Amino acid sequence: MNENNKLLEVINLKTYFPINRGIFSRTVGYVRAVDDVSLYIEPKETVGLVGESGCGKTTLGRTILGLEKPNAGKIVFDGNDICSISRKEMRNLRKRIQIVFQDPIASLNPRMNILDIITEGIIEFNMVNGYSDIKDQAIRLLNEVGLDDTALYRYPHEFSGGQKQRINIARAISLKPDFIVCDEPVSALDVSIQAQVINLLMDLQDSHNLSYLFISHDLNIVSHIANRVAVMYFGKIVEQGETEEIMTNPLHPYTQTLLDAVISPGKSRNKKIKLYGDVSSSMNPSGCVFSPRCPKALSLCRKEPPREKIIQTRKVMCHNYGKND
Amino acid sequence: MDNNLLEVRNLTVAFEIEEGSFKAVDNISFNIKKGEILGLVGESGCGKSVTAMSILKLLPSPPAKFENGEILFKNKNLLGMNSKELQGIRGKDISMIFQEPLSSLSPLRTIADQMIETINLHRQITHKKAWKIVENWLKKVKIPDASHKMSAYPFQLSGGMRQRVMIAMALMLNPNLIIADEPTTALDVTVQAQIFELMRENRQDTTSIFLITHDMGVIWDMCDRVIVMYASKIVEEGTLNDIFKSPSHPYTKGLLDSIPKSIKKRERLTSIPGNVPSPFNYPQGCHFSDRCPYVFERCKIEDPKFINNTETHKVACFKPLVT
Repeated sequence: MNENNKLLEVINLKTYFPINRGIFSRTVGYVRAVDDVSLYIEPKETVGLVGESGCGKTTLGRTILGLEKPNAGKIVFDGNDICSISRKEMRNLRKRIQIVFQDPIASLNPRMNILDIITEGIIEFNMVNGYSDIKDQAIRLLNEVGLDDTALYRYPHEFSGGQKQRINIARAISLKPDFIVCDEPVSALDVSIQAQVINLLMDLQDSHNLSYLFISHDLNIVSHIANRVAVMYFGKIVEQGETEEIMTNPLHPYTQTLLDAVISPGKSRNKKIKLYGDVSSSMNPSGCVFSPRCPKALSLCRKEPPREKIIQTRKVMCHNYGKND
Repeated sequence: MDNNLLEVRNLTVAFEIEEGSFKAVDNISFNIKKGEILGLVGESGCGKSVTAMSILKLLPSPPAKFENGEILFKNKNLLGMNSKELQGIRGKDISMIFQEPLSSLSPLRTIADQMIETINLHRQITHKKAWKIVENWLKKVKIPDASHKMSAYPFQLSGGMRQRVMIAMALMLNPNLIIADEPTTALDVTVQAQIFELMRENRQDTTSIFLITHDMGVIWDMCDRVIVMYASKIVEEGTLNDIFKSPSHPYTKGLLDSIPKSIKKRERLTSIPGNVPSPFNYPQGCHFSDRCPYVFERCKIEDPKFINNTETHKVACFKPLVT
């Protein structure tokens, strides 16, 4: 294990997508999907990543998995820099890093039966001993996610959304990973099923000592499951810290407005809102990325991007807190 | 009676498809009063969208078949009207906001073009006047730079902007009823808050809204009264207080309990066991019986009838919860 007890550490990560225009497809600019992001995850910890659509949260998850190539920065997983290791080493690391996708239908091959889907990984990595062992392991995995052996020879379309997501989770844990990126794992599910899947994820975390990066736009769910939360806006993490502190006392104006916009039974109704516009209305501003929409913007905010400041256990990227030096 | 703008009586809508026929909406009745915001909450496949679409007869038939019931709007049965009569009502008296604004706007025509078309269908006014009305409404729904955005095509606007256009379009002829089918499901929370504020600000006090959603939070924020639907049937109906303070049907209670309460960290959530049944094999008797924690013999045989807890609060259950 890493000496400072971090399973995964992301350091100044940048993932840019080029914008190509004209007949020669000249690169005229970049979409800064992930822009100078630093983040760490400890063993057995859940870090929630929240933000609006288009803020880069999925790209960050995909870059950590090695599905996108970063332009700069480091991703250190258990002491290995993912960006610089060889393909062979990466292949072995892949066992330990898994993903559960948002869309449970699109992420299961409709032509494979459940047995094949959930054992593809363990066969590939030679973690089995003959056919009967494959089947035993598959049944054990299905039991762990709350399904039984009647599912083995059926196909994805025969299952409901919640059951499909359970199959996705069974596949993700089949290689005994340490870390799973959960990219909006319950957004496509019905409310009554969401709770089941969240309970399952929490149970598996305890029994398998898993760490999660839990990507979601639903603050209620994130605040329930996550130990720490990172709030992302326009490619940058504007605030991160302990869940409870962020939820009860958000510091960054964006976190404040985001929490304000959440409606849940019991909260005050028919509130006046303070935030207008959406993420796309702040294309490449020169100062703070949030300044065009920020209710607390100072003149400094429009000129100079803020740096990250540490306030007790929290990191905040905002000019309203302390002076840039 | 006079207070009711819309009355749905014993509505049953069936679908006949290759695999057989099933009832998407099974014998439901409810009223929408003048000026109220009525919420309809339920999970996917419970028939809430079919209910909404039935009001304006927007369901293709076949496969849809209105087996029974009537929908009275100002005491006239909408289901009995021919398409010409319905054209006169759609957009003018009853308008609709759909979930996905991109697929409900024409991609080939400008925003102004589509909005003016709606006006011209119902009012004989000059193009110039219509243009002014549209511009005004786009300003009201806070579209920045409204006069320029009028010549924009839908793909040039963001999701939130498109939904604002839909809202302007739905409100601009001062309808009596607006049906909003999951109007903010495809949008971010901050945009959702903006959209709801616009809907509240710009409707007239006499305009009723029928808001369909799967999100209890949305119901809490917007509605005066609530209908809870499960597997093609209405299971509970009441005021906001009835439903949130003293939910009576086990399903309603389950829905409310499965919402994560932010601060209680990492506690197990109370969930409803099992899955939403397929419309082809709803259980006998009460449709919720196979997932209900309080189920007993009678639930599996007999269909529960509505009982009134109070004048405003109705529930279809043999063993309603008392809270």
